[in-house]
Parts: sequence; structure tokens; C-alpha cells
Amino acid sequence: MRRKRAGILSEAYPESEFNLNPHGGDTMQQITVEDLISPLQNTPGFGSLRKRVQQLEKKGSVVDAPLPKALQDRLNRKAGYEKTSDEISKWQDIVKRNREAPTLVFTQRPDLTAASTAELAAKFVPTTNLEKEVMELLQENGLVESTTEANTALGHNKLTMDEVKERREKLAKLRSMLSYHEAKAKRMKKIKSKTYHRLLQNSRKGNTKGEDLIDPETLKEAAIKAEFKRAQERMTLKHKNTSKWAKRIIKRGIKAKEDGSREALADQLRTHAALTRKIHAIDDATTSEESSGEEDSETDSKNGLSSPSKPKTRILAKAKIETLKLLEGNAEAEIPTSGLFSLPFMTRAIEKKRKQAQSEAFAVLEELEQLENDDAHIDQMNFNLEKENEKPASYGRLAFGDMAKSIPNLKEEEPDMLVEGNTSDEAEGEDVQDIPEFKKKAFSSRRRKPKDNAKINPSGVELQTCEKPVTDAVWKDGCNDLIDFNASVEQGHEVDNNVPKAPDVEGPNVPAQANPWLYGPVQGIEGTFTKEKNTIKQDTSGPLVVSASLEVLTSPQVRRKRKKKKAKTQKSITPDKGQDDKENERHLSSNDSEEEENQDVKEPRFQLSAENESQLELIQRAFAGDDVEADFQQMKVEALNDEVPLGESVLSLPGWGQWTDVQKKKGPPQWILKQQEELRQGREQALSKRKDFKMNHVMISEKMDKKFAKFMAPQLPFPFTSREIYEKSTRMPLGREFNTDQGFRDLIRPAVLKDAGVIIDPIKYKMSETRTGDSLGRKQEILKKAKSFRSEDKRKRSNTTNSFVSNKEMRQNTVQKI
Amino acid sequence: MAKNPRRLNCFISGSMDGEIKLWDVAYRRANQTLLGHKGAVRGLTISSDGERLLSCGDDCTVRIWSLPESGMGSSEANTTSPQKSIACHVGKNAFRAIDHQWTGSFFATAGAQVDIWDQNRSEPIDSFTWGSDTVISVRFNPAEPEIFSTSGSDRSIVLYDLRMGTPLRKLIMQTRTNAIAWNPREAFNFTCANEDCNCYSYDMRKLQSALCVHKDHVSAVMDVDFSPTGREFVTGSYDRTVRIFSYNGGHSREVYHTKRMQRVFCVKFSGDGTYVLSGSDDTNVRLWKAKAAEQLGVLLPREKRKHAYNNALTERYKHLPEILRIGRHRHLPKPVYKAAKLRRTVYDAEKKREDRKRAHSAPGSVPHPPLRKKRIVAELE
Repeated sequence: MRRKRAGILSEAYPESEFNLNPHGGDTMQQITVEDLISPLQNTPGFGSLRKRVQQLEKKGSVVDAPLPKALQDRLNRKAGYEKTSDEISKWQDIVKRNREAPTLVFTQRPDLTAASTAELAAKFVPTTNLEKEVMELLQENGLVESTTEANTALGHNKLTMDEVKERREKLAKLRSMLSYHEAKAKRMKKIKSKTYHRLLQNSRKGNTKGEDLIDPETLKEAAIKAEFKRAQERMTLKHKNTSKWAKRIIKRGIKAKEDGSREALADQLRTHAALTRKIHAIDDATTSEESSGEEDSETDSKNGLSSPSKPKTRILAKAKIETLKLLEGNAEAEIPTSGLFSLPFMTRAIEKKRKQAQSEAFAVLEELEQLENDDAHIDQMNFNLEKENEKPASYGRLAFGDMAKSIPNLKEEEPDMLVEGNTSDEAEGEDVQDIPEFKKKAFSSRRRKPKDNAKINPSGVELQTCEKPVTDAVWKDGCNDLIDFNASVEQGHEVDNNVPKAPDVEGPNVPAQANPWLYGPVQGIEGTFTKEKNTIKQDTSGPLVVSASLEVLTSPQVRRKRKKKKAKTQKSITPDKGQDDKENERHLSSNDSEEEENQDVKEPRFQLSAENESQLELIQRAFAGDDVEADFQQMKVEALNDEVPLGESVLSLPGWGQWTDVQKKKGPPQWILKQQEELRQGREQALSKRKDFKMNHVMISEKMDKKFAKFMAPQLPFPFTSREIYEKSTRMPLGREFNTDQGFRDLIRPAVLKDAGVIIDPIKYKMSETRTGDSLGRKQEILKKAKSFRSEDKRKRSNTTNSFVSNKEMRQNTVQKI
Repeated sequence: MAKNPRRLNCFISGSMDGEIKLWDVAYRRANQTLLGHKGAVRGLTISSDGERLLSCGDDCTVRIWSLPESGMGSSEANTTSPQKSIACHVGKNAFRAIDHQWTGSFFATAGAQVDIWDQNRSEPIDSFTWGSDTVISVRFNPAEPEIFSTSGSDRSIVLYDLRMGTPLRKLIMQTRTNAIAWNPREAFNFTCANEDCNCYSYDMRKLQSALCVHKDHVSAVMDVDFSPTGREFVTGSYDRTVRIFSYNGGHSREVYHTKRMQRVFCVKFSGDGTYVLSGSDDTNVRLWKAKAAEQLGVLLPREKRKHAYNNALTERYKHLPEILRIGRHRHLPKPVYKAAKLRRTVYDAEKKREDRKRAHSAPGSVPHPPLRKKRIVAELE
């Protein structure tokens, strides 16, 4: 009741914003916000105010009581930590970059460019108290100079327009010159002609040489000198292993170890070859002309044949040129850089083959030259060919090069002749002369076109007819090559003689005036020649090149098959021997052209006796003194003795068992024997455990060098993931001798570059830094660092130390550049 | 001990008898002695401009001193004119540590609570408390001047941010952290010197586990300081050695000790990262080279290259046994050597015990806690 009563109040004044009901009891009307704002109805903006009030009333909610302090703090801390963590993560990129950087640079050098005192004075700003005091004093006394001096000093540095122009022009000129030279060099490089480059090189090599060539006097002198040297060499044979040393080496046998001596020997031979080589560029032409002139007069008019000597010399020259070419080509041939042939052992083998081929080619060259040299001589001698006592001459001429080989070869064949030839008495003696006879006869027989016994090779080339009996010995000796070749080609086919002559008997390569007898053989040979050529073109290896150089003479196939087919050919020949003598007589007096032919056919045979030896034989010859296997076994035994030594045991006791016979007979005491036996068994066991125990041709060292183990990585070091990568990383030495200057500096640059005495400030964050996270920025930074490191050395010499900026500044710079 | 961030040759040491000495490093003698503190000087720091020295001590005061203009060339010690402190702020409790921002004018003191002061005000502008234990060290982040951390006697490490106005997070470890050093090149990483002989590097964003545990000391690590290059730090320990660790290396690169050096209580890296200073119980401040084998003085370019080449060689072949051995081999004082051996034995025994326990328990019931997490008790928000 009291409350109620208390609630009833009577007011003297009406309710308004200025007279509120202080108690706000239930009974009374409560004052609302509307009541409060109602008086504002007429004021502007009332509408919006009412709207907001209404909105508030709609949403109206009570504010929660504040959380306890501890919880509040925790939430604050949590939020704060998250915020700070986010904030500080902005360093992530920078930290990562710095950690990954190969080098951190903290060197900071003063900028020494502004060196004038005036400038320094102008820039000076007093900072410390003392400085300020001093400045004040100076200003009071009017001792401070204006900064104009500095300005004027700077003004002096300015360039005038003309100077700038001049400089620019100069630079432009330099640039244009540079580009011109570059373009020229590029153009020159593009020219593919080898001849051009060779000529260019020659001209560069010695302008003096060119002058020499121009000057006939010097040229002549040089030629004379060379000739003299050549003559000297030919006389003394100084380089033909005639020296005491060379003989001794040869006598002792060249061992594999003494590679040097063998090379030296080969070198000598090469020198000899080089010295005795005839310069035939000029001489050849004259000699051949002369000889042809001579021989033309001696042409067998009856047969309508010109002397074969001219073609022969031509052939020789051609062969020589070919050989030289091949030699050159061989020297120039490059080892392939990719593919199977680029493997190290392949390249080695190729190199070896090439060398061998070269030496062989040299030998061939030499022989060719000798042949040529002898040509003129032979021509004269041919007149007296009938005489038997000239045999040695022909022999001597033929047996060059491998004298020792070819003569026995010949001798081997002679028994055959003796066996098969009925005219064995004259076979040996008239060996040389008989061949032409036979040829002649064969030729004539062919001219008569006999219808029986004609042998035709599959290619349709008629080679010979054996109408008339021919002395097999003569036949064999002289034309072995030809027949063998035919046989080899035919493989025993006897073709009808009715088969017409093929039109390609006279190939384009056969000289028109040559003895038609030669056609067959020559044609045949050339057939093989072309074949061989093809193979040569495919193959660059040595031995084939050599045989190619001999292509004109014969093919190795012919030689190889000769022996197999010998019997066959002889069979086919034997019936002809009846008329042989007659023919012999007839041809003994005939002209020399056939003799020349004879040579033509015969020479190659002798030469090739060496050439045709297989590679294996050659190698066997070359390494005749070496017993590699035995050496290896010896080495292995030694190594095993080293690695698994037999332990020490008492071998004998002085005085022990020496005073009675019984004891002497008994030998060493049992315990010594036992000990030795044990040691032996132990060693055998140890040996049997070795990896190479059952491998006869392998030696695996199981020696453990403790001293060396100290310097071997026991396991893969940490950052590496594979052994290959690790080994690769240590393969390249660090030293200055093995790297470029820049590479060396890069390799040895320490991880942190700092200078004593330079304060390193803590890292400072720059907004722009985060953007340099890309690789470009880093690269530039590294480059800059490298530059600054490089220029460290120059610092004292030059005053331009612009590159020396602090790490931070540097980074800033890079950022700006980007 | 404090180093001047702006000057290389200026080092300051405070002692238990209330003396503060200014050292000229080049001449290796004290330039000045500042008297004023009644009790032990517990903390020293220099303002970011390098002109003010701030000290705090057991006498509940923070004193601000003016540093002489130039230490350079002033070879004669002017101890004759004793200097008075510019300002002296009195707190309620003894102060244990003080540190100044690297940029800015605030500094923080640690004691019963963490106070933030402005150089120009006599009252702290802010104070933080979290828990009731004493805070024994405080260190500002060099890269982020608003962030700092403290370590307390409740074995805690607490992070603060001035901008947030609150502590951020508290990490409680098994043993007390004596000192904290922030990496000056990596803003979020810090290393703390722990009572359990190890140092722990943390990323302040990931406090669940340490980044790296640096083990080698055989007694409590008393102080730690980062090289300004951020690549290594120096520690001083109660075992009378000073060690230099790589910022990410588990073991020390270098150990320094002398017969007469006693417990090391404070260490500092010089501003150029070339020298190390240590203050020890034998009342001496010692100056060491940061790289013992480094050639001092001006080097010719050729010499520089030679050294660089040699270092590159050792770097490349460092994993080879012999080179590793030579690089690692250090003579140690017998007590340290024996203690290390003993620690090893204890560690092995513990490990063995654990292994046995594991072998006789249900699989998975005895976990393998990594050492980086092992010592962390809790991370409080």
C-alpha cells in the first residue's frame, strides 16, 4: 500500500523533457524515447532521428556482462599473438632468401667519390654538441665560407655540348668499327670451303713464306736445300733404324713398357719417309713425258699397242696422289663426337687404326716413289732384258719395302711352279721375261677369237682364252692376280664361250692404247676397285684406307683367294704348256712394253704381300716381344704375394740336426714343417676368399690403405642424395689453375663477407624487399655481390667505389632497377 | 655488459659492487668508471642513438648516464672526474635486467614485473605481469623494435608486443632460461640459454618445438648473444667456457677457455662480428677473436684470396674423416672433458632405460619424444 501510495504523486507541472517523473513507477506512464524526442518534431532532421530510434528499438538487446579479467586477458593475448605472428611473417621471404644466398655481404665502404674538401665542408652538418659549439663560434666570427666553392668545383666537372658531341661521335665510330669487324668475321666463318680456309690459313701462317714463293731465288735455294737433305738421307739412311741404338732396341725386342722407344723408332721411320719423299709435283710430269716419249718410239707397231709405261706412270702418279689425299684426309678426319664411336675406347681404337694406316700409307708412298724413280732406269734397261743376268735387277726393283717378307713369299711359290710346270728348268730363270710372253700370246689368241675354252666372267668381261697351252709356271707367276681374280669372281663357273663379248670390255677407265690384254684384268681390278671405293667411303678406319690407296694395283681380295684357287687355275692352264716354249722364244725378243706390263702386274703382288696380311698378323708382328698374358700372371702373383703374404716361420735352425746323418736325412723338424704347412693353408684359404680367386684374367685389389682411408668419405655427406652427384661435385678442382678467374672467385667466396671494423646493423624491413623474391632480383644481387667482391682488390687503386654499398642499399638498388 | 650499437670500441660492464666501467677496446683499459648504484648492477644497455647508457640494479633504481662523445683516441683514462647520472628512476622492486629498443626511445626493465619506460619520462609508461614470478631477463628484437621477450624464474619465456599492449605467449620449459638473444637477421627467431646446458632456438610463431637444440656445454648456459651477421652466436656458461655455435648447428664450432677464467656470466659479440667479449666471475672482461685462426690486420688481396681458397678447400672436404677430426679437435679442460663424458654416460643410460621400458610396454604406449619438444612443458596462451 505504501508503495502504491508512494507511487501516486501529483505534480504541479505537466510532464515534459524538463520535468521528468523521477520514479517512473508502474502505475505512472513511463517516459519513453518518443516522449523525449517529441518536442523536436518541428526541427529539421526529425524524420531520420525517429527512423534510427525505431531501428534501435527493433534490434534492441542487452549488452553482456564483461568476462572475467583472466579470460579477457587470455583472449587478448591470443588475438595479439595471432596478429603479431601474421605481422612478423612478412620476414619469411627475406629470411629464406638470406639463408639460401651463397654469400651474405656485410662489407660497407665509405663513398669516396666526393673527395674535395670544399664539397665535404659544404655537406657538413654539425650533429654533436661539440660540433655545434664550434660551428656557432665560427659563425659568430664570420669564418664560415659559403658553399659556393663546392658548387664551382662541381661546375668544373660539367661537359660542354661540343665535348659531349665529340665523345658521342667517337663512341659511335668505335661501335661501328666493332660491328663491321664482327660482321666480317661472321661472314668469313660462314664460308664452308675448306680450300679457302686452308689458303687463308697458309697466308696467315707466314707472309714470309708467300714472299719466298714469289722470290724465285729463295725458292730455288729452298728446293736445293730440300734436295740435298733428301739425297743425304737416301745416302746415309740415317733414320732407317740403322743407328746403334735402334738396332739394339730391335734386337732386344720392343717391349710394351717401352712405349717411348717404339714411338721413337716409328718417328725415325717417318722422318725417313718424309725426307726421302720425292717432290713430284714438277718432276713427275717431266719424267713421265720423257719416258713416254721414249716409249712411244718403241711402241710395238705390230700389235698396235702403245707402251704401257705411260699409263703406268700415270697410274702410279694417280695412286700416289690418291694416297696423299687419303693421308691428308685421314689426318683431317675428325673423331666423331657423338654416338657409339665417341666412346673413349672406340676413339682410341680409331686413333690407333688411323696411325697405323698413316704409317702404312707412308710406306706405300715411299714405294711408289721408288717405283717412279726407277722408271727411267728401267726403260733403259729394258733393251737388255733378254739377258739372264739382269734378273737380279728386276728382283731388286721389285723387292722394296718388305724385302724380307716378299722374297720368302716368292720362294714359297716357286716350288709350286716347279711341281706343276713342265718347263721347270726355265721357270725360275725366265720368270720375269716369261710373263710378257704369255700375255702377249694370250692377247693374240684372244684376237683370233677362239671358240673353245674361253673363260667369261659373270659380268660379261672376257678375261682370257686359254686356247693355247701356256706354261703354268709362267702363267701363274705373271698373271696370278688376274686369274685368281677371275676365279674368285667366277667361283668356278665355266661359261659358254659362245657368250658374246660384253660391250663394256673396254671401260672408260682403260686407256685406249693400252694393251688389250690388260683389259680383262684391269677391268676386273677396277671393278673391285670401285667396290672397294664404296666400302672406303663408308669406312674411315685405317687399314682399308691403305688398301684403297693401292686400288689401282690390285685388290686384297684377289690375294686372299689366290691360294685357294691356285689349283684350279693351274688345272685350266696346264693343257697350254705345249706351245709355251715357242711363245717364250717369240716374246723374248719382243719389245719392252710388255715388260712394263709385267711390272705393272707384278709389282703390286710383291707390295701387297705385306699389305694383305691381316690385322691380326700385323698386330702379332708388332707385339712380337710381348707376352701380355704371362706378364699379367706374373703381376697378379706379385700382387697376391703383396696383399696376402705368407706368414713368417722358422725355416731352419742353425746347428739343428746337422751333427748326425740321420737327422740330416730327416730334414727339418716336424714342428717347423707343421708350422709352414699351417701358414700355407692359411694363405690358401685367404686366397680362396678373394673375389678374383677364380678369375684368371682379373685382378681385384683388396688392399686397404689405412692412411688413404682417412681421406675417403665413409658415407655420403649430408646434402647429397646420390653418389654420382657427390663425386661430380668434388671432381672439379677449386684452384686458380683449373678455373677461370671469375669461376675461381665464385668458388672460393666465403659464405659471409664482412670487414673488421664495419658495424653490421640489424636487418631492416623495406616494403620493396618482399617484391624481390623472384629469381631475377636474386640473380642481380648475386651479380652485384660478385662485382663488389671482385672490385675489392681494385679499391686501393681507384677511387670509383660506387659498387661498394651496403647490403641493404644494394638490395634497394636492385629493387629500383627492377 | 653492454655494447654500443653505434660504436665499436665502446663496451660497458657493470659489476656487483655497483661500478660501471667504460672500456676502450682498442687500448684494452677502462676509460671511465661510473659510480652511483648502491647495490649490484644487474643490467646495462645503451640507447639506440648510442649516447645514453641505462643501467639498473638491485637498489631499485634505473639510472641514465650520458656517454662521452668519442671513445676514439681518448687513450688517457679520465677516471678523475666522476660522472653523475642524468636521471635516476626509482622503482618498487629490484631490477634484474634492462634492455633498450634498437630503434625508438623505449626501454624495458625486468624484475617483479616488466616495465616499459620512455627515456624522457620518470614513470614507466606500461607494465606487464603474467604470473607472479620474477622476470630475470629481457631482450628486444633488433629487427622488429616493438617485439621483445623475457624469461622468468618460473622457467618461462614470454613474448610481448608493445603495439598490442599485452604479452603474447608464454612458453614453459623444464628448466629456467637465463638469457634470450634474437637473431638480428631473422626477425622471428630467437635463441635462449637454458639452465640445462643447452641452447634452444625457437621460431616465435611456432613454439611447439624448438628449431634447433645446441648442445655442448656441460653446465648452465648463462648468457647468449648473436653475431650481427646472424649466422652464429656466442654463449657463456657456468662451466667456464665460451662457445660459438652456428645458428643452425647442433654443436659448437669453437670453444674458448683459459685456466683462470671462471664462470662466465655475460658474453657479447662485437658490432662487426669479429670479436667476442666475455665477462666472468674472476672479475675480468676478456676479448676473443670470433674466428680463432683468422689473421688480423690489413690483408693484401692476395692474402685474402689465399685464406678464402683455403677455407673453401676445407669447406669442400670437411666431411672427410681426417679433415673432420682436425676441424673438430679441441683441447678441453679436464673437468669439462670429464663432465661431457659423464653427461654422455648419463644420456646413454637414460636412453637405454627408455628403450627397455619401451620394449616391455605395449607398442606405442611409450613415445619417442624428439629432443626439440622434450624440454617444453607447456605453451600458455
